[in-house]
Amino acid sequence: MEALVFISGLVALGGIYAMLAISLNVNGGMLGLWDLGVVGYFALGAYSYTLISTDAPYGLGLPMVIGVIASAVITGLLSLFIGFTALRLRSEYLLITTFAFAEIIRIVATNEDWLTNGNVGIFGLEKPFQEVIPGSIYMVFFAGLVLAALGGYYFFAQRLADSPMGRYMRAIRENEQVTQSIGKEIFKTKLKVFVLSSSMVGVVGCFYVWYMSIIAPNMFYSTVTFTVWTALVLGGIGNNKGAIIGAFVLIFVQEATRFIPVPTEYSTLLAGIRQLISGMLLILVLRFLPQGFIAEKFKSVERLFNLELKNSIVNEPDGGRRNVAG
Amino acid sequence: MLLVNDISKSFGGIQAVKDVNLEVKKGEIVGLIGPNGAGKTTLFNMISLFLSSSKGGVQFLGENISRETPERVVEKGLLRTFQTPVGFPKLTVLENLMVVPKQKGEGIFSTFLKRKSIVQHERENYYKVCALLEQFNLFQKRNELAENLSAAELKLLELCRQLMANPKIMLLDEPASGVNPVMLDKMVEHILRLREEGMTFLVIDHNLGFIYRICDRIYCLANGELIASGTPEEISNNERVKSVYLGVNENESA
Repeated sequence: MEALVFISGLVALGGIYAMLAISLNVNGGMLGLWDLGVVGYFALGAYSYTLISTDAPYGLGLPMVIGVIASAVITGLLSLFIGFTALRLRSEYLLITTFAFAEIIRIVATNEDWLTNGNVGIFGLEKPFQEVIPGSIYMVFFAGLVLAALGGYYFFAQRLADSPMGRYMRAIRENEQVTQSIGKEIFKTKLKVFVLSSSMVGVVGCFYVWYMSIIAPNMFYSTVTFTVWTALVLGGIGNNKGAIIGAFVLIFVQEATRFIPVPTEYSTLLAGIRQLISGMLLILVLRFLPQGFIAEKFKSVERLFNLELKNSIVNEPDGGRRNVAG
Repeated sequence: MLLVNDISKSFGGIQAVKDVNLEVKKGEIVGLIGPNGAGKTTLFNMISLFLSSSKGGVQFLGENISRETPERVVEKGLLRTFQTPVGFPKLTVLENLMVVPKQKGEGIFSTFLKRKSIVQHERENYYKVCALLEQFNLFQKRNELAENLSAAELKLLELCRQLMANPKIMLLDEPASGVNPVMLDKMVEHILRLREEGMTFLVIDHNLGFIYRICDRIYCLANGELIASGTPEEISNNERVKSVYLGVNENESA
């Protein structure tokens, strides 16, 4: 039983990171934005949820559902502001700006004691269906909940990737100038996708709060961002399945260090080794599988939309232009 | 159709383009030649509004477009290609073209809500693209990634991509560079055929043979200034053009 609960906890954490990786794949993978602000939207979503759905004195005590919606909306609104300023920059400049925003959000959470209870954080947060499910197997249920949400995220992101919108996003990633030269307003699109991706991350924040049942600024260091990026690179940038696999592999490998039998006085040392292991894994994968576990797939449009030419292409008399009889 | 008035551009202290005037009439193929660094591409960038001009303006179809965005200019029918025809390397040939038309599917919400009309639109789009690819002999390669095409095929793909946007005038930036002689003949054929169908062109190239073959009129640019204009014959006999191209100092040759 204990083993089951432990594994469920691992699956839940892996699932949470997989959702983050999928959200990041929407703007980092498909649109090609170098976004280092993941943990910022994550923290923002988590805090929005907590402050709206927890009872006084910290929160407003509104229903959980409203908290979840609020986490998406508030994160979306703030990322609209961030995007409006940052998305005019390119690649490495965007990277630094988003990174700075994420740090600002964490520092605000650390210092605004009246709002967030500062470094101490807020404890004993409620989890969904806590009253109904017995505490001993709650983690198993929660893992199921995370996997269901992950399924939803995957479906959503995959649908987006396979649509004309996904194609348009990849075109922007491949070449902004050419996309502009065929008359597309790329800034607007980048902003839209950026907001979408951030909101998705924001909602994952709620899951993280449920998982930890506590919220504190030290949960939102930039290592989270790097872990998510590492997961995405391991799995294969641009591939949603890859994002999921990358996240689970990374979390499992990191957590496996818990089983290395060492005396307690070395256990803090061991915690440091986790970062080392992710680093090693990343280097090995980049060396031997530069495109990640699963490379980005190129589906033929013909198959996606079930297109075929019913008749062969024929010459038509309208000014020499050829047309297709359907 | 296209009128460029006294356009100038300076980057810091360097005057890249200086008071250039040129005109392209409907159905014409106009060439723009000049040595490296003469300001040809800068001029293109200003006409297509990728770059704002320091002075002067551009009129297209009788309208002043100098204050428009590049997207609006494309909508009006002014399209340009790029010197390096990279396109979208990790998109297939089909996708490279299907991405062009404005469509309902290019929104986050419509992706999920308007599935049916998107499929319909994709189908129409697909037929149009296939017909175009067939015309340019690229149909067999439709599911290849653009990065696997040869340089000449990429140039053709680039031409197709701009055609998908229903242009009235096309600005071609070095369509012949890196294209082998056989493909060059094809390129000439395509351009001349498109002109027959009513297209207008402004073409930059270094390959003078190619320019002389297709152009009705030619402008020659050197150090940001227009030094000559005229028919291919006039230009080929122009002493200043010769001296600029052969790198002879103007004072010596005079």
